[in-house]
Amino acid sequence: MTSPQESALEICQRAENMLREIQSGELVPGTQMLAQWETELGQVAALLEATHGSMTEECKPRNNPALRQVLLGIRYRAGLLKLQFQHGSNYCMGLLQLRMGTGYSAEGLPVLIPTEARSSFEG
Amino acid sequence: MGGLFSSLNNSVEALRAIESALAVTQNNVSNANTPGYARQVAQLESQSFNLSTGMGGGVQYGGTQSTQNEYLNQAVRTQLSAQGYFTGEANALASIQSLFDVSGQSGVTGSLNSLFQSFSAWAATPNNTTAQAVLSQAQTVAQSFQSASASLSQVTNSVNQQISSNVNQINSLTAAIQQANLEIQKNTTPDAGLDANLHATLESLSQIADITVSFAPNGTATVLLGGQTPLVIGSQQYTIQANFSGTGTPTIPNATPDARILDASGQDITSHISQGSLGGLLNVRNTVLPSLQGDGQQQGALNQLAQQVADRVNSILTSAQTTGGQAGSPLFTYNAASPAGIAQTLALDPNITAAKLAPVNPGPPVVSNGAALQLAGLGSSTNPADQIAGQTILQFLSSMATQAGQSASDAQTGSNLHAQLLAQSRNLQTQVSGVSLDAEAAQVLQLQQGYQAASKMVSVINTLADALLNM
Repeated sequence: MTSPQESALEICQRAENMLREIQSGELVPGTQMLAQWETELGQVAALLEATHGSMTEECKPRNNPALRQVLLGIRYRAGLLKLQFQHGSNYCMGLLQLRMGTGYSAEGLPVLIPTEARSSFEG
Repeated sequence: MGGLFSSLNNSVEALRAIESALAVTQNNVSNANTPGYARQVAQLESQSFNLSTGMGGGVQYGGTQSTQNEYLNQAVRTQLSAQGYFTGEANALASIQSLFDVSGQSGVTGSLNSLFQSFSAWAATPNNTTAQAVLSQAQTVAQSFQSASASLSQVTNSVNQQISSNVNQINSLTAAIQQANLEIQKNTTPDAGLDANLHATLESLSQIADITVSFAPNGTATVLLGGQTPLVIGSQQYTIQANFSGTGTPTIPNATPDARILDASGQDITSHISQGSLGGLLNVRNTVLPSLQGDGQQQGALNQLAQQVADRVNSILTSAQTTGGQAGSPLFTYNAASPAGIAQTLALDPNITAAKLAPVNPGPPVVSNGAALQLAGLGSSTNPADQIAGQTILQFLSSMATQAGQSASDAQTGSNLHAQLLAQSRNLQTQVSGVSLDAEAAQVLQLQQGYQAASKMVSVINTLADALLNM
């Protein structure tokens, strides 16, 4: 994931770029894209965890304004992405409830209308 | 600031994209019960993967594709046409079947049986009372033939109306297809709603007549009737019309002419229509009904029977003598100038009286009730002169009634059989093209779970970023 020559700043910049790509990729969402993003988000998390473990005193954000700026950018993008993903999740749940459901169960899950499958061709 | 605005804008776009990504699912769910609607599928196209040139792979939205399957659609239309044929035929034949009582208690069968019984009673006791009974039963026979003929005429009129109605429906449906073709030509992208309407209209049309459908690359439908006569080609509609006035000089005068279907240029295309409810109605109108009541080419079984009964009874009576030794008189009369109208014009001879009925066979030897006995056995007589087409009068009557019943029964069986075959074709069609709300719901749930998982992963990233910032 990281090379010994790569600095904490470079690693965090790479993580931020990955988040930016995911954010722009969300313009074309789908189940396959979501699986791909989940993997990439895992990679970003791994990068940040590795940085956390190998941080030296002079590299720490409070002593490194450039790194602090990048980390703030990561947090900002992560906030936006969380909002987008939550919206997607809520939208799907709403669609299930409004168009295919009769209400919510005690567990908060949509209760679907019992349907006869594939009725559009049953004359 | 520009970077912040761009990023926010990107997020708003992403929120909208989530909704548009589900548009296909929403459309499918909304149209789950729309006739002719085929499930739409979102197409995802793979992107190139080459890190050295910056191509990161993944997939992108590549538009939607309809799951219409023309092979299966044609199979359904074929079964609809076949079922339509038998249903149209069965409905028309049901009213004919009721005219011929196979139990022999009513109608022509019942009245003829009663007439032969009255001849038998007259033969046993040839007096004024039994002769009056013969006259009374003969009157009933004439009325039953007239009634059967009138009923067949009513059925003919009813079938004519149904044929006209079918033709009007065909013209109306082909006008709708023509309009759909015009809309399709205007559209730059496929319209699932228009496509559903077009296919539903084609199915309605195939119930009425056997049609062949082909689709141009731009999606417009060309519809041929019986594989030959154009009904719609692109933006052009070709209307058809029903004609009941006949053509040429008929062999049998004054008979009901056959029904004809004419194309837009006036050409007779009746023979092209062999399926659908119109095909069934045309078969009843041009084959079954003429076999009973006659047309320009044949006299019809009912008229044959009426003529044979009248001719043979009259022949026997006029060759016989009354008990007073006078020559016998004919019992029946009919309009001989109209061979296809004999049942309709069959009546008691206006000059006949009980006293003029002649029971005596002058011989030699003279038999006092010889003619009456011959009349009593006329229905079952195997004398070639008494038979019709090699059958006794009662056999001929029985086979006529049985045939009407058998045709109606066959049509009902055919209708039921093709209803099953149609159900099988529909089942296959719905498996391929129908909307399954359960499947759509499963897809939305899968998407929702994907979003939820990604959201949790982002929370982890946020926590890690916070931890790093606090170092």
